[in-house]
Amino acid sequence: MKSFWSRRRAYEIETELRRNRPEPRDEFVTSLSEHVRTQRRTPRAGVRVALAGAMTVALLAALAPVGALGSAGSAAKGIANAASRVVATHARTTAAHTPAASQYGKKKKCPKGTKLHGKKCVKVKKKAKGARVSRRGPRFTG
Amino acid sequence: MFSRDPLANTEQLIRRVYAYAAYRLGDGPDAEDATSEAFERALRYRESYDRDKGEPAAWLIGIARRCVDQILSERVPLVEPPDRAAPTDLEEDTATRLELAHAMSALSEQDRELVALRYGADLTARQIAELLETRTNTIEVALHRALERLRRQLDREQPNSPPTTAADGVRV
Repeated sequence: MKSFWSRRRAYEIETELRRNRPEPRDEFVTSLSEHVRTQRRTPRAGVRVALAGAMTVALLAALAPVGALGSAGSAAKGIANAASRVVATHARTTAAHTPAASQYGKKKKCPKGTKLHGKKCVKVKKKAKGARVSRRGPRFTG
Repeated sequence: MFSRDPLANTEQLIRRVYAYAAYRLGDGPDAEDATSEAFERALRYRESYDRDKGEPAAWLIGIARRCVDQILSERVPLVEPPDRAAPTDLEEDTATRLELAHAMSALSEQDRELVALRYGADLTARQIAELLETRTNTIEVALHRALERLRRQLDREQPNSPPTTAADGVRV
């Protein structure tokens, strides 16, 4: 019996090799490709750790401004307090009602024709002429 | 899709790897085992794939080569070539396929690998040269001679004639 190849002398071996390429069973292709797909989807341990790390960093980055603002606020407050303690001059405390104060302290000036009577200025009463004469003493009569 | 993931186009890659393995090991469970093992290893080491060094198929065939070599090394040395079918009894395509498989099994291991890489895995001569770390021209010559031997093997008229040896083959 003559071989198939002998009957087709002009056949192209390369074409036949490509055309008759061994094909896998469909079930085999389906199951293996499904397995590969599943494995490809599952992230590896390293990837998982990297993902967790990345999320932590992102969270810290997101919350850092909030913490920094609070910290900066309290720090500024502290600095302001310290500076005010150094720079600010305290008001001199004086005793209000002391003998020295009543003696040397500012005295209230009263307008003309009035005089201080306690804390108020009161009008001075004009004295009668006679009264003045009499103050000089009795007339010299010789 | 030629993305960063070398296993993105899975089904097409499975067919190419299987065809390569089947040309070297014969159609059937051994070729399926080699294909599965190649994909397992590819999944495990897919981070090491560097797209600058070549197509995913070439990378995957490189892995499959080692899987096929391992199966061949574990095989019992004497393997009966597949039976040659009578063309009158079978469909023409099936008969052609069987005759091709029979002729392939008669080739030397190196010739079979070259034919498997070129027509099974569908790699270019340049890709094969990169994979086997040799020159493209050497691959083209070796491939031409391997095809010539395959043609002679197919042209043999006696169905039970002993397979030709590849004493005059170009070593790659």
